Amino acid sequence: MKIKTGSLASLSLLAMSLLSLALALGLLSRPAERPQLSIAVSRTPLSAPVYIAAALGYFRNQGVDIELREVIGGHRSFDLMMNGAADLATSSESVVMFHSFDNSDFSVIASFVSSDNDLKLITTTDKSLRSASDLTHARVAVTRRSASEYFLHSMALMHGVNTDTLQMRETTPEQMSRDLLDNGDIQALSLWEPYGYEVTQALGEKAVLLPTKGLHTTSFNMLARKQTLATQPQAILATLRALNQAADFIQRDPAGAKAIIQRQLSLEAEFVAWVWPDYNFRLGLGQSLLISLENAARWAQLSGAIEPQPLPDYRALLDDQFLRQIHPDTQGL
Amino acid sequence: MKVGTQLLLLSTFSAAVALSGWFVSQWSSARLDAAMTQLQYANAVQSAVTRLNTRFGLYLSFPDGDALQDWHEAREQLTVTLERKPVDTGRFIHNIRRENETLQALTRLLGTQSHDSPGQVQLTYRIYASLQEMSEDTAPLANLAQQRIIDTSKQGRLISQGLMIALSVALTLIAMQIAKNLKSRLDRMRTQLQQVAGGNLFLSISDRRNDELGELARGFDSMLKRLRTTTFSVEQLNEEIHRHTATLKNQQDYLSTLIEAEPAGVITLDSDSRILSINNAGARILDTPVDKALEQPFCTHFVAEDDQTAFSNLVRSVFAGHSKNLQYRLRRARDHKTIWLQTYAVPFIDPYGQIISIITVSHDITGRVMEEQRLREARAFLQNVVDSVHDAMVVRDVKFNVRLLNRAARDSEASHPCNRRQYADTLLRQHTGPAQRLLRGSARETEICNFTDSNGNICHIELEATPLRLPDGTLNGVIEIYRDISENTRLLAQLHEEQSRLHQLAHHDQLTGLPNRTLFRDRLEQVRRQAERDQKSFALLFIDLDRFKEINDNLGHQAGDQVLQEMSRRLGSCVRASDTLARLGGDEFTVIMSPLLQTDDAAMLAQKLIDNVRLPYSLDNQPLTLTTSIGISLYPQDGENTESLIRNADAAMYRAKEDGKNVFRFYSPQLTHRAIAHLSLATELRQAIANDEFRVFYQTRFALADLTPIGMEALARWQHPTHGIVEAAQFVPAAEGGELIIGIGNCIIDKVMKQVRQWRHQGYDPGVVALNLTARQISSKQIDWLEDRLKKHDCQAHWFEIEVSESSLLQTKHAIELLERLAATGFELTVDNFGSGHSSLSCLNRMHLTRFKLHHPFVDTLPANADSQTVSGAIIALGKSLGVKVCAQGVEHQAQANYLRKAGCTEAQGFLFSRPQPDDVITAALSNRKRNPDAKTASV
Repeated sequence: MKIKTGSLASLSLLAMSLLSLALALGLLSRPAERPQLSIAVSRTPLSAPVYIAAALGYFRNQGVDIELREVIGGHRSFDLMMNGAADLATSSESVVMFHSFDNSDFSVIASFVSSDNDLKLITTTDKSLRSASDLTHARVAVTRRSASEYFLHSMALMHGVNTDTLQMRETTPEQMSRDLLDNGDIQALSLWEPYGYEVTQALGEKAVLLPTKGLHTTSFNMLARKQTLATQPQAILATLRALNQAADFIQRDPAGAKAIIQRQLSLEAEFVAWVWPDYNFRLGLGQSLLISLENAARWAQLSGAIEPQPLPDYRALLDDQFLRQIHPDTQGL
Repeated sequence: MKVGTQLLLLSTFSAAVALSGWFVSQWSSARLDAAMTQLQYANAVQSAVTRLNTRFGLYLSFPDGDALQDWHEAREQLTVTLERKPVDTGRFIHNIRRENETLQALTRLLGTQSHDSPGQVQLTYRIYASLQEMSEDTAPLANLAQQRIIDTSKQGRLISQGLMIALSVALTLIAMQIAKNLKSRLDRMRTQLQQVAGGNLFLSISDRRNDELGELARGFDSMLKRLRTTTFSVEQLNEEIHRHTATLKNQQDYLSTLIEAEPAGVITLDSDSRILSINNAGARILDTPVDKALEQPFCTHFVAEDDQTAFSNLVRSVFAGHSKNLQYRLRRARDHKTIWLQTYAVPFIDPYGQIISIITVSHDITGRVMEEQRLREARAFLQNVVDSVHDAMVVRDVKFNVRLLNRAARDSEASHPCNRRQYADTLLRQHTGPAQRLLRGSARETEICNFTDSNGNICHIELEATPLRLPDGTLNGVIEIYRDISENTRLLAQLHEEQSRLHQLAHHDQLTGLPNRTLFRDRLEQVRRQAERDQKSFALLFIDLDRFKEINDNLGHQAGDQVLQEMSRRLGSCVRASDTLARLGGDEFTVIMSPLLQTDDAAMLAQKLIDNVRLPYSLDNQPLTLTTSIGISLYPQDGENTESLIRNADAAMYRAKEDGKNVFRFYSPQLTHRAIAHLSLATELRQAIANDEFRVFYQTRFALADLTPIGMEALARWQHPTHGIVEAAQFVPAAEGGELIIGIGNCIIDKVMKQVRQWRHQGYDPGVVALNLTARQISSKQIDWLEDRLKKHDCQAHWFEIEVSESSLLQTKHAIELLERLAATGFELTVDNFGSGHSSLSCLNRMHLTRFKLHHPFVDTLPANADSQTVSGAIIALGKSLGVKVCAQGVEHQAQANYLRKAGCTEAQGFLFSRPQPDDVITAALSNRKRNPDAKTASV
């Protein structure tokens, strides 16, 4: 009888131990709650790191759940973020520049891609222009108060052309190809991608690209409301780490990266192949962006796009505290 | 595995351990070198970037040419540094290269203007920003390289330590296992040896392993076993000897009995061929008792003198150790009889390997040798007999192997038929020579074959094959005799030629080569019988040259003959291959025209003959014009037998002479009138085609259910210069006889296609337009023409339907195939006047028809006539069952329309709905219909 009682006690102890082990395993294996952020992302190949980080699960691996809200154009993504519909937004520096005058409630936390050939000057073989130095008195179609006009202005300046002699013809990017072909008055077009690609395709062998690669840089940046930066610092840091990982992947497997973007944005393979070599995927935040913003702001006032007023302090707009945690070697602003 | 092998493997394994340690150390060192190179590269890049920054600062402070030059040099140096291939191309190098490319683009513009111009200021900002980014990327580059060195060192150390420990432990364990195993086996062997030394022989180590120790153990066991067996007693040995002796004696007795019982002679000889032993059979062969034969020299005493040398050689050869066979003769002293022996000799070798004698086994083969000799003589006789046969002779067996050839066959040329290969496989049908046929059971076969001899002459050979049978009747082979019958063949051919020439003379006119009266009558009878069988017509034309007698009288018979030859040539050029032109004698010719499709065809031929004869002819440079008169009789109208046809054609010809000569006349005057009228009309029609006087009228076809216009039929009209519009019925019969109808039809089709293309182009829908084809227009060539027109006018085939009358279909050869081709092109097909002929239902089903057009007379008498009701009802029902639409044509009264609608007829055309209209009226109607799509119905 004694033996029987001992056996029962041993069995009970064994059962309790197994139960405790099962409970402990259950608790350990339960997924941890991850912070959540939403990004208003502009549907362009320039947003590639965001799409790739989402497609390859880098955000989740870094400990943040990201919801992408796709919009057409950087202005709309900015608006979506400022309306509170998204925590972060992707946009070009021109969007940052225009909103820097009337809004100080956001920061640029990183620039994740730059292109030194996104804006182009295009002419045709039957026109006499062959370099930006030939722009004196040239009749060029531009989209007023946009990067198109700024780029033309900047190229003329750099090549020593008197910008007062430029004869700008206002039109829309969609109309430019027809203007160049049908309107004998227009000698060249200043426009951005994907319109550059579409115009070149439409013109075929007649298209001539003026050599401006490297002279102007367009960057795409991650923007955040200051409130978000204060309340969710870990999530922001995780987001940037994921973007850094995506930049690594793009450098390591460009073909795979292009395939993801082509699929996600339903783009033609030829268009992706056209723009991809101009992109430099690099997580940074420095003098380059600062100078670009200041130059663009000065031009915006000069051209009348913005009322004359003191320039904002763009150093205050760029917040590199998160980026420095990822790249301690990042130089100060 | 052998112990040596185990030890060898162990030492190899030890060496491998040492070698792997060395490899790991080398690998680690190589990785460290690479990391160091990467660090040097990073430092070089960092140094170049720092230098670039410094030069740019100097340029900004002193923007002169020297500073700019320094800047250029610093940037070139960076480019050179970057072009060195790094060990690892990471993201930062990529970024630095991109920034350097940007700097390259910007540098081109640096210094092109005053340094304080807005463009240069903007440029310096851009350069500054690029330099900043470049500097940011150089720091992590060096950090990464340093980190890599640390990681590589740590990793190499860990791997090398881990590997060495693991391999050493493995080596120790294996060595211990081998040593333990060896020790236990050696201990066991030592114990066993101690027991053997103590006198115990009955034990065993029993180590079965296949290594050195196993072999040692087995050797030990074997040695023990041998020790045990050598301990026999003397009694045991004696007993063994007795037993073996008894066995040997038994075997010796057995052998002696065997040799004595052997029917062949067994004789043992020594090296001098003295007989050492001989059995009874041998003594019988030698005809000498055994005891007397012993010790006798066999070679000199018994072997025939001529064969003694050969036998001596045999003895020597066998004593040299070779077994031999020899056929030779014995000479028996008692009866002087020659005996043939076949002897097989083998050496007898003692236990020491010495040949002490030879044993010969001999058979008496005298009978066989004699038989062979007789056979040879018989064969030589046979060969002599067959060689004396002049013709080539070949005897084959049932497998076609040649068994006998005579001299003629042997001496024949290679291409002679007797040398052709024959095949044993008689089942193959391609091998059907006479020999094969014989083997299939034929009694005797003859065949004529040809070959070309070496002189190039074609020789004819008659091959006669006869079966060769055994006495019991079974087939044993074939005897082939090839007889050259070339001379006979030549004579036969000459005979045939002569016969043929005689036949030609008997049936042809010598002057013109045309069939003569005899052949003409024969042909006429044949044509009449054929026409009677097929219920067809034919025409007989009697041709008489006018005033030919005057030529004969005035210019002589030779000139007359020349004229006759020329005229026969001219007449011959006018007739078809199926017609027969004959000369009956003098200036009389006849033509049998068969088949005859139209009566007008005969008239046209007659006119053609008259026109051809009338052409001027030059006789010895004298111009001469002849005319001819022709009489025509038709079968069966003008006579149902040859006599009456000839008589009536002759009578018609005399009528033509009476009517002034140079004309033709039918036996029936009415036919003559009609033919002349048609010929005149045909001339006018040819002119009308040339003058483009034909017009197209269109009669609209309607759906009976709602009277919607669904298409139209194109109808030919002749715009006569004096008579105005002439309907087709008035001129088509005159055109049907020849190619004229094709000319008119094609002119109309051309116009219709052009018009339809125009309507379609204007956006009008005329529906399907019917084109009428006559029997002569249904041909492969005509279909090619139609396809060509479609392409020319850019028309679709399905815009048109081809309308062919039932009677035309029945007249046309290959009508079904041609209609199938039209359907394949895309045309709709309609049988016009359906019900007037007797089409086969199976043919109708094959034609892919779209529509039947109900024959006029049936519609005309509707609804009153009961027969018409029955026929039209049956045709409508037939159409439904075949899936073919039925259109009633010639509908003129409302009552007819109502009856047809009720009877199930779906389409109609006729004066009740619309008369045929010229194209301008139709164009206006189509235009009106397009404007008012709802007002589409007929105006009834």
